[in-house]
Parts: sequence; structure tokens; C-alpha cells
Amino acid sequence: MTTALTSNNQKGFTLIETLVALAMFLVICGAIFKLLNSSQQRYQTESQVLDSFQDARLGLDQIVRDASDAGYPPFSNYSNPPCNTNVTCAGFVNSPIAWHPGYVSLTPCLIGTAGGGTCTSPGDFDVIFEGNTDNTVVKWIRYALQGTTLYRGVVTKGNGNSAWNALTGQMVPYITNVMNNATPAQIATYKASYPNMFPGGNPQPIFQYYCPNPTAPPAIILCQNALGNLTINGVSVPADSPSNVVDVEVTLIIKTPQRDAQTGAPRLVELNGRGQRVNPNQ
Amino acid sequence: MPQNMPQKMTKHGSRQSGFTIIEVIVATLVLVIGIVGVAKLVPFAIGLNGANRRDSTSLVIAQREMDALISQPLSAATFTDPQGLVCPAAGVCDLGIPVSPPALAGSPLVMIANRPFINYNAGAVAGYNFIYTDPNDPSSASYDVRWAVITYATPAGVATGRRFIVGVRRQTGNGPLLPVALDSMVEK
Repeated sequence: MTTALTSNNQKGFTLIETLVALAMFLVICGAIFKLLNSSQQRYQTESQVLDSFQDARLGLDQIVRDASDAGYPPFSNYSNPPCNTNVTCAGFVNSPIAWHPGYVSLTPCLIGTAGGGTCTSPGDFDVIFEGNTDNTVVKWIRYALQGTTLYRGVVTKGNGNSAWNALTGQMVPYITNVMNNATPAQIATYKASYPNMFPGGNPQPIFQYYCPNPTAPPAIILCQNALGNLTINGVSVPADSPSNVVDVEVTLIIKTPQRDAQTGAPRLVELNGRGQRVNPNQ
Repeated sequence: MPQNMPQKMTKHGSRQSGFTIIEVIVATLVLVIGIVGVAKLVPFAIGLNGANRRDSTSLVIAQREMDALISQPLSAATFTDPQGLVCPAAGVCDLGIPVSPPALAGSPLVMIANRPFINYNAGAVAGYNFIYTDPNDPSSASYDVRWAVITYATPAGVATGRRFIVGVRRQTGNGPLLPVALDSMVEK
């Protein structure tokens, strides 16, 4: 019988064969999914790192721009000063970087790092730029780190006002997850993954100020090292006072919202920029 | 074959002969050689991607170094950077020697396609190089930054202009890629 013989010839797989094939298929599928999962985790982590870079870059660009544009219009632009020059004046810039305390009567404080100096602002994590940055009126632009959030505030400069008081309550969150002022325990954890961040295991100042060196005037040094006095427009001022600041070095260290999905290690990005003031003193 | 199988079926069955084991092995070998050849491209691509990343980082470092060199006053013979970004944190870096006629100071150069490059086969020159470690790189990749300065000066030795050639490459070389070279000039 032809039909019977044909069906005899068309032997199927045995159960064992099917099971072995199925097992092999599952093993290969498992490997593929594992690969897919790990690349998914990598993608998730790397896109967070990229977002942090983007945050840092946008913030850094704005800070550097504000630092470079600070100081316009200077007092020397006017033949007749628009107001009393002994107190803060809305018509021109008294100092490219405002300070606290003592700014209303223009008594300079001294810049220091890590708690040194007499300035509350400018400091390692706080700065107030003063200038007409968008061709309207002179403004105060403050950046201040509170916790892990960098706040930014902008107010119009007023006659006889304190920049610090005018900006109180005007600060809005600008960049989150800023880790420059991390705790010693956090810094130790971060240094395990990034040994070149946080030199000496200390918090990394966001703002570092450079002043003309009184002993070699064209050269600039960190303001807290600029000892002695400088003469600006016939007035002798301490070399490390905020009105002398010419360069602001900005370093931002931003943490990704979540740790590395594969290794569990923290991911940080560090960006560095330098604002070079283009406007003259006073 | 069963004994009672009709002639027709036997003929039909013998016509449907499969591949021999030799054929299958040879085919598999050819396939494996092909796949291995293609698979070798994957680690090469990963390596090249890393080299490209380090090349971009080198360019950023070179531009920062060039900006720093150009912004130094012509009257200065040296510069420092307490941050350690453009000069070792505790060191002093040099800006050339003002003599007339102009002389080259700093790292030796090599001409490639009529353009000056820093010669990385020569040794580093003190005051004209530093090692920068990228803080963002978890593997702590270090970059070898070197520069050379041609100073234009009056016969009295007062600098009137400077030409800088900056070279940056990964400390141990960067695979098939050449070091980054920038060439710029500043005048009074």
C-alpha cells in the first residue's frame, strides 16, 4: 500500500529530540535576553550620564557668560556719574562682582577659600555678578549652592540696595544633583570610582577667583594669594577684594540621578570653564 | 529498506540523498571562517570608538591649553595654574625665550605634510609639558600635553609676538590616530 509506506517513511522527531532541541533553543534565548538586558542597563546609565553632561554644560555656559559680561557699564563710561558713587548705584556697575557683607557702603570684604576671608559672597559656592548683560538695566545675578541644588536668581539693581538682601527670596533652582560640596563620606565613595575628582578629598569649589598679582601686575593669581594693595582709578584697595576679580574659574560636578545600573557605582561628570571679564574695573 | 518496498519508492528515496558529513563539515568551516572574520570587526570597532573618544578629549584639552597660552601677557615668561588644568598645580610652565631672530623653544617638532606637529618620539622638555588626567574617565586616562613656542622679539629681547604649537595625545599613544596638533599665534 503506497499511502501506508509513504507515511512510514515520513518519520517525525522523537520526544527526546524535541526536548533537546527545545532546551537548546531556551538556552540560546536566555543568553540573547541577558545580552539585551545588559545593553538596556548600559543604555539607561549612559543616557543619564549624557543628561548630566548636558545639564552641566548648559549651566556652565550661562555662568561663564555672566562672568564674562559682568561689569558693564563701568563708572568710567560716565563724565557725570548718574548717582552718588558712595553707595550702590543702579545707573552703573560699582563692582563686577557684588559682595556681602558691606556692599551698600562699598566697604570691600576679602575673598578666601574654605572658610577663609571675610566675604560671605563671593565664596566657594556663592557668587553675585553685576552687570547690564542684556542691554536693559544693571542686574544682580546670583548663583548659590544649597545642599545639592545650584540656585540662580536675577534682580534689578537698586540705588543704595544690598545685592544680598535684594536677592533673598528670589533664588530659583537651576541645576540639581550638584555634588561639589559633598560630605566627606560621599567624597570617599566618589573617589573610589573617580580618583582624580575632589583633589585632596576636599569639597571642590564651584567658583574660584583670580585677581591681578600686586607684585607682577599683568599676571593673575588666586585672589586669596593676592596680598597687598592695588591702585585702581587712584584708589588703593586690597588686592583680594571682589572688585579686583578678573577671572572666575567654574567647576561643576554633577551626579546622575541613579547609580550605574550594572555596577552600582556612582556616576559623576565634571566640567570646567573660565569666565574672563571683558569690562574694566570701575 | 524494507524488502517489500516497491521499486518506485526505492528509486524515489535514493534520489533524495542528503549532504554527506564531509560536505556539512566543509560548509560549516567556511561559514565559521566568515563569521569569525566579521566578528573580529566588533572589538576593532570598540577599540576605534575608544580611540576616537580620547582623540576628542585630546582636542578639548589642546584647545584649553592653547587658550591659556594665548591669554598670557607677552611680558610674562612663565605662567602657573593652581587648578592644574593647563600647567601642573605646583609647577611653573614656560612661554618661550624672547630673542631676535626668533628661536624655537620647548618640545621638538616634526613636519608632517608641511605642518608642524609635536614630535612624541623625542623626550618631554621640562617646563613645556604636563600630564593631565581626565577626571571624568573611570579608567583615569592620562594625556601628554606638550607645546613649543616661537617668540618674536626686538633686538633688545622684548617679546612682540608668539606662535604656539600645542600637541596632545593619550599618554601611551592612541591606537591608529595621530596626536592632536594646534597651531596659533598672538601678537602685540
